[in-house]
Amino acid sequence: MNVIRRTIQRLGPARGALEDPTPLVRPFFVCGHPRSGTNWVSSLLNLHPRVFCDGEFHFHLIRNGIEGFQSQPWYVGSREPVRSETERAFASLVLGCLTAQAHRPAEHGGKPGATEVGDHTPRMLRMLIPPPAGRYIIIFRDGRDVLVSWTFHLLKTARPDIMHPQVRPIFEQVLPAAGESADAARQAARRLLADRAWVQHYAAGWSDHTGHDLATMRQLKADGHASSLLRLSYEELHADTQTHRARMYTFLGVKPSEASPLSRESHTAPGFGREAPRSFYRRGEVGDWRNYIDAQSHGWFLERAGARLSELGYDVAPAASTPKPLTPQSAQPTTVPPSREEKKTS
Amino acid sequence: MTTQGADAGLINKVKAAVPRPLKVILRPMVRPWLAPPPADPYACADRGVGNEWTIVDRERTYKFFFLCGSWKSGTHWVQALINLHPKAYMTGEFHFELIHGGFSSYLKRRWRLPAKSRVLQDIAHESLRRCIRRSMFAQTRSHPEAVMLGDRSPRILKAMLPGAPHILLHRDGRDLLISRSYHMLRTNNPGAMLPQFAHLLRRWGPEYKLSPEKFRDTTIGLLGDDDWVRYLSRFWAESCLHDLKAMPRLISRGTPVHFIRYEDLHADLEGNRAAIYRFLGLDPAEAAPPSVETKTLPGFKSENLKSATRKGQSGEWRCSFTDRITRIFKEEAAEALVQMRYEKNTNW
Repeated sequence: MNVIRRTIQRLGPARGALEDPTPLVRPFFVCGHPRSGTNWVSSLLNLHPRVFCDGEFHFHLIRNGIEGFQSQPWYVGSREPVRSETERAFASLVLGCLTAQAHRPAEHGGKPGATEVGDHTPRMLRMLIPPPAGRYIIIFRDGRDVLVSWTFHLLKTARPDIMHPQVRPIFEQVLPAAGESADAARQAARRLLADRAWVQHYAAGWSDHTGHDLATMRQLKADGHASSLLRLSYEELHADTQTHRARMYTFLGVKPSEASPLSRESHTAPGFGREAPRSFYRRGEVGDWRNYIDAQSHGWFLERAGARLSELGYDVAPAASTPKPLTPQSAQPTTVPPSREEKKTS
Repeated sequence: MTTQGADAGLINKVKAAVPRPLKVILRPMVRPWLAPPPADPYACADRGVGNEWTIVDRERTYKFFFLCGSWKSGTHWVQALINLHPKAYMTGEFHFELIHGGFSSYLKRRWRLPAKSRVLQDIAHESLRRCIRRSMFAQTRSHPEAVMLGDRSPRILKAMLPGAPHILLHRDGRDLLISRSYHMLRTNNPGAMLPQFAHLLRRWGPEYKLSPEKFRDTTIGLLGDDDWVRYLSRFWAESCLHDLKAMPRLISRGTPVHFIRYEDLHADLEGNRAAIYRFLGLDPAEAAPPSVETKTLPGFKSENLKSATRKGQSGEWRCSFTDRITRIFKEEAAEALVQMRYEKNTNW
């Protein structure tokens, strides 16, 4: 607790978190669309002894409140000195929370020696702590793989109440059978992915999210903060994990050679070897959408998000008329270790 | 550039030029020669003394309090009355409830990290309270003689600093409907309007500026729109019902709440303002008398359709309500009107 108190005092509003010449920790943020690999990036970063990344904090929810507080010219928060006070309070809160989480004893999941502390939250790219003090890692992934992954994720969590009313009925139809077996989950996913409303609803959301992130990146670069931003692609990370994780460590100012090797146990090696439809770590493959999305659904997706896929450099050629059959190996029952959430539940 | 700024620039240049290992060696030797960091003028507000809403600065005790209630229910008037007392100073609008809402979202979802960690929750709560104290203290420094420092924000009742005195003000929803409708036309700011009603301001705002008298006809303008009347009636009813539930809950948890009705303040200004001073722990005898100049007397000399202080009357709705407006208001807010004791039943 002394370390936490000292850090909060040091970085707190009294001294000005962003003005401290020798902060004990340096913050970073991993963001991207849900199911784009933010968890994987976090696990890769945590292989380094000086890096601690945890989540999901969702600091942007407080940021929304502060922006509302500053939004109208007749609000006191839109003017000095209150405006700066709230900014300092927010920076202090973020650093305080990250430090408290990182500097817990090792047996409680902390990493007291970490100097680079971060949050991974699947969210849009927004500045929580202004660069260069705040550093940002953003990961993009093919929206079609994201759609398949998210569809399985929703089937696993079985929460139709959190879904958009437009697509809730189709989920309510398939959910009862989806939990029976891995095959039933695959069948349910196929039904959802053949539903125009679901495919187009999700494609539009993914396109908007990604478009916002690309625009924010352009703005950051125009403001001269390109060095505070690292852009990753799930597919490149998959193809050459070693090179791209070294980029991440270098970006954070730590030596890549000090990091532990990749492993299946730490969920840091690319892919999970086989498909586990009801696990948080389902498959982790690139191009898996071809197994689930037929030509018609693909056309629906491209109607809403084709331009965005092209902008990100993905191939938008028409899909096969029927999805590829699953290989015998990928259809086998899973032996993938349970996720953190599953462990806690059990 | 100030001397201090020039020094800071020079120091930064030297720091950038010195290699890091050398910097580590030199730092302990150089630091005593550098100027100390500027004193933080609001540091006293970092921590409450004895409770969350009291601070001490140079042996002087300051306490925070809050005024809430619907917009156009007289919060400006009560602020002006409170500011007649030399030991109290109230300003606004802060709207801490917006930050509070952000913190609530941050803490509530069970799969999010902060919902699972007591330490993170404590940091968040402490950070929010510190932010409120520092912001209020910073904003009220123009009145150093005042020891009771208040925020006026038209909002629902919610404890921003647990235990701090809260004044809750309400007004007849029918008068509020008329007053708010004129106010929105006068300010003509579509950005401050809900998106679904912004088109009404674009349609009527410029016309109101030219001939406000025309809008006494309630078939035009905002009052001529059924959806607007319904929205505002429902909003008032929901705010009242929320506050009526929240008040006993807050009081039972140690947050004192003083409830005033605009109409009662009109009827007995001296008695009610003395009660407010006493609620804040102040001596009513020390307050200056109400006056026309300070806009602290009930009502205004004449109606001014182009002023924020338009009329200041209670029961004015009787001149403006048509059968249509009455029907919509009753559908949305009849129960709240009875619960707030403005009517005994719905036969009005």
